Amino acid sequence: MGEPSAPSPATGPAPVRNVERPSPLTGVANAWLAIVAVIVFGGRELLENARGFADPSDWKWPALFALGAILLIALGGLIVGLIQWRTTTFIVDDEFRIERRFIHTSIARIDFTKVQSVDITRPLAARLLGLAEVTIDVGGEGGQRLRFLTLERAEALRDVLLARMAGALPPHQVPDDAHPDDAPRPFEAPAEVVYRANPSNIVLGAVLSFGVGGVLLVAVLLVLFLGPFGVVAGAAWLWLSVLAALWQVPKQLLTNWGFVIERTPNGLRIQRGALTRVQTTLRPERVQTIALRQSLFLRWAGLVTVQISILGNKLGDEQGTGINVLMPFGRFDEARHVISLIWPGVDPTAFAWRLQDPRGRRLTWAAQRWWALEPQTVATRRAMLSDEVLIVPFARIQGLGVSQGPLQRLAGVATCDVHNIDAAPDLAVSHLSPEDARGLFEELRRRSTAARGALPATPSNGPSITQ
Amino acid sequence: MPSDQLFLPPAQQWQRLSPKYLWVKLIGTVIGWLIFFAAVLSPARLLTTDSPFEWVFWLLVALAVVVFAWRVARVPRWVRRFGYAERDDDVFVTSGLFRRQLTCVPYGRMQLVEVAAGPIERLFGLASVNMVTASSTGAISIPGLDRAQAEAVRDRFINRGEHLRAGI
Repeated sequence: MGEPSAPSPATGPAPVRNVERPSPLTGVANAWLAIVAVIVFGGRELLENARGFADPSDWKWPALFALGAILLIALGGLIVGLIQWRTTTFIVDDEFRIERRFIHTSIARIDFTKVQSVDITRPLAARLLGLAEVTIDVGGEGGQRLRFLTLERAEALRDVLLARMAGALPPHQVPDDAHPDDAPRPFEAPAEVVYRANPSNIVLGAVLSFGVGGVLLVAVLLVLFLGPFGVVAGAAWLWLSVLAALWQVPKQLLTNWGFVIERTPNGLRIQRGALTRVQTTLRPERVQTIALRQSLFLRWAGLVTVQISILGNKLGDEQGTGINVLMPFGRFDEARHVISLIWPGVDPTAFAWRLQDPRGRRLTWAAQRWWALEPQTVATRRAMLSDEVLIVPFARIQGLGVSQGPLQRLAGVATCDVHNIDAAPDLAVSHLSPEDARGLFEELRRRSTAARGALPATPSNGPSITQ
Repeated sequence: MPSDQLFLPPAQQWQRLSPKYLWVKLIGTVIGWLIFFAAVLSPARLLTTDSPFEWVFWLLVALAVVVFAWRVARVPRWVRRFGYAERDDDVFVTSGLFRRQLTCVPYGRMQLVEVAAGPIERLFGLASVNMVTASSTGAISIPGLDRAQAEAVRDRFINRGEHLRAGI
């Protein structure tokens, strides 16, 4: 990505405005992805309903039918991709505009200042064809997805958008593709690797986070209900469901493989994935909360997961492209390091944890709860078998509250609530004595007001204009 | 600390809702629960008529009467309990009988303020002010204000929000 990008085949040297199109290979990539999706979906269905197909002779017609369906869907994907290629155009100069003119015509103009993040997703099919999908997140409604561009164009587009978003580039300056012969792009972001996940931790974590617990449980149940011989003899479909459960392990592994964080002038760039390579660029100020999570097995192995919640997180996306993990599995030293990349000076291992009020212990006999009030953040921790820490900086607090449910009233305790944006979990410091709850509420109110006052005035985060 | 003190107002005292809102809330409660009971009891009646389980229906009716009386009886207390306080940079709301709560939202976090009025509220010339933030759990709503008062509250909120805007 150091060289200037070659103009993609469809990029005409338009004299006034450089109107671009997705890559013509979009159709091929689409067809390929459709096939993969059908096979994965069909395979899962098959595993889950395998009971009905005990006799292999029953498989002939379903197999033929499935083959036909796959071909049909692939053809459909190809056609959709070709139509997308022919009907989608985009322009990046003074404005960023994506036009789609098919049955339904849409022209989306995206305000550079409202771009929250630009992610590049490269499914395996697209990687082999040298393509990438660009997802532009604007925080609210109106996010856009361009599939597929050549990788160079996608990265150039990302750099332009991120530079514009950060205000580094004056709006009248025309981005690089207007003069492709120039030497290095002015806003090319030099990247410095600041964290690289240890592969052995990823393997260990993927196995422990789901596999061990689930498989042990299923195995024990099988032996209990069927007896040692019944397990081997009669229950092929049960083994298939074990397989389906075990699929989580390679899935975790493939998702988190090659997890790297780089520091660029535009923010932290996080990449992960063995087959589908996802890349997101994250400005630290977009991070609303950080959570550290350990399941029981991970605790024994000394591993922890660091999760972040971001404004405009695409967690609910059908393709799950958004990265909400800062460290898939790692040691506490590494966790400290990655958290300091986002919030320097915040070290959860050095927090002064305070135990909840003893009167509240009767309401939470299962888990112990702690809370901590630190110079920049407020945090809660709850632990029984698993261990979970949630950290919210004062500057990100949306609202505060005090509440007391009927049981709490009987026990003489109360909760101090910290309301975060919807994409982030709310933090509740529960079961404090009423004095402490109200005291913490007032203290947080003072500190969050001060933190808001210290913030630079940010533009409002409304949706961009979509016509 | 008794729980009253837990929900002490930040200023001298809470501003309470218009007394007319008691009627709005009562009518709303009565209509809502009548519809609910009709929906539950009519199939129960159909199922148990001429069956040995007819007493189940009457048990349900008795239960419905008790619940209904309880819900109606707590309306005045609910309305009396609701309070709000506007301050220089945030607004406080306290409400709830069973689960009591106090919510504080800074004007700087406000994304949208709307004045809304349902049909019963309109009948009494009342309106609600809803304040939307990026957190739906932290959003607040002040019902039962006189229409003019609601608009004044909204304008004050917007005015203050513009000066204290803090993004997300």
